[in-house]
Amino acid sequence: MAGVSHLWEPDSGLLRDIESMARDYRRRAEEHLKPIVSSYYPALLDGGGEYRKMIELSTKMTMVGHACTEIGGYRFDERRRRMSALFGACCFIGDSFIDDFGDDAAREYIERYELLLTRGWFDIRNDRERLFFVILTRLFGERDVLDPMLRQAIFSLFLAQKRDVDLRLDPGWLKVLRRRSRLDQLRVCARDRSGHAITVLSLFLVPGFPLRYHHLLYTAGALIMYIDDHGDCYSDLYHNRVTYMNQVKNPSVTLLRAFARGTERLRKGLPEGRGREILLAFLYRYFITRIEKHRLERDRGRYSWTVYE
Amino acid sequence: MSRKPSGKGVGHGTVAQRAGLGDSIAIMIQELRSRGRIDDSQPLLRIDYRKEAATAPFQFDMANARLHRTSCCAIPRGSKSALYAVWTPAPEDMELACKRCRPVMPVEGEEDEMANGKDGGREREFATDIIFGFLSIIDQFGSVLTERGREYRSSERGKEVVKAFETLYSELTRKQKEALDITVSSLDVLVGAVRRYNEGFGTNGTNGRSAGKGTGAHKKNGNGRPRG
Repeated sequence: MAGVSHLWEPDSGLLRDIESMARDYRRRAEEHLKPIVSSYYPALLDGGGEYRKMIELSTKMTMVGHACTEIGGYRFDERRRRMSALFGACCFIGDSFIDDFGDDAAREYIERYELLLTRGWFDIRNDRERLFFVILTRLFGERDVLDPMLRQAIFSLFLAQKRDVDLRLDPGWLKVLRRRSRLDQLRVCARDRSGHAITVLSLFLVPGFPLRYHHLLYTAGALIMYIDDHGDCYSDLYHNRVTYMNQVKNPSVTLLRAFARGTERLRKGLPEGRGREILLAFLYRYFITRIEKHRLERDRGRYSWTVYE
Repeated sequence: MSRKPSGKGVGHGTVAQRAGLGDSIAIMIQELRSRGRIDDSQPLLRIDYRKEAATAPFQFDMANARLHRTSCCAIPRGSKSALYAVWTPAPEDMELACKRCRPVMPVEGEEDEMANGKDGGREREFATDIIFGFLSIIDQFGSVLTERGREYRSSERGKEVVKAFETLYSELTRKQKEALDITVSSLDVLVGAVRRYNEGFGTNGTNGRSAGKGTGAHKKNGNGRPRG
């Protein structure tokens, strides 16, 4: 990809650390999650690549969680690793209700999750929902979820998800907008989904995370979403999912610019230290692997169900 | 409960056992609600903070790294979904203050007022909130608690606990006994008040709530059937 060679890149030692950290966190995520899955939804373990994908997302959340914790000035201990893994699993299963069971299921999930967040009630109808509820309960049990910042982050994440589903299921109003406004809507939607998600994660790991660093994590979150959407470009187009990254004219260049701008902001704004290094190295690794995923998926075709690290 | 944890993996070690127990309780509460055994007209837990957030003095724009006064007209439209209500910013956060509305650090004293709402009452109301929280649980879970209490009292485990309490009580000093007696009788009065309140409302039928909470009858949709 043109321009990648001019980007900042972590030194080889740090990249090796990130690789070995990812291996370690993959193993630990599995140690935390497999017993819960075995107890509440064992069928997931035999469900092809879905369980592996969940472990991969939890691994990524653990890496990002490690960075956030150190940026917040704390040690990334066992409890925080567990919380990161739970958060990854929670996001994965929550997203599966939106992505994998059709439009009605997506709408229904949004309604039921709203009831859960506004009134605390959730009808558990099958093992997948039971697993989702248990993971969410365990995560919520780790901290004071009524802390104002954490509450706002959790609910804002839900609202961003809701807007994403609305855009997907009712794209009519989006089509009447001018191209620039349409792209703005999609960009903001992607930014908020991952921006609020990383805010939730950081507040679970470090309650009282300094406000002056939150917006930088938000930037990192938005970048993760753009990178992710670029990697999922062909699958999203196949499923008629409109995203910012599959609507811009030159996605590679757009992503490259967003990456360069975002990482520059993080380097300048975050406190020097291991947390910043891990976050930047993780973003770099994610960026490179998703560009590769984009290329591979274009060649593999629409039915690919490959698990990417 | 339709399905309990098998205990594979979850049952090992204290943390895992506690988590397993927590799972069971959380699932059971939801199942009791589905069966119409819990008054779901009241929320169990409200995460939604929009109502409170609107009254905060400041809003932090995560997308543009700006701290605004809540009423600031310079908040970009595209940032509305990325705003976080802030009650008491740290001095360092003022570096990110909006140049248009110029939010200022609350002066000492005013800070508590902002954090605690206009009348500075949030801190003072803390103890009252705890009592109301306790009462709301009795109110909401009344039928389930009564039934469980009856069962537990006559069970072997319940009898053991009573014995243990009696031993513990006999070992307390006079002052400790007096303090405990006052606490227990206060709780008794509160529980009695909640019951009378419910009975009063049930007979008047003002909110459609049944007087017979102890019977386990559900009031929400009038037929006691599980929903969904």
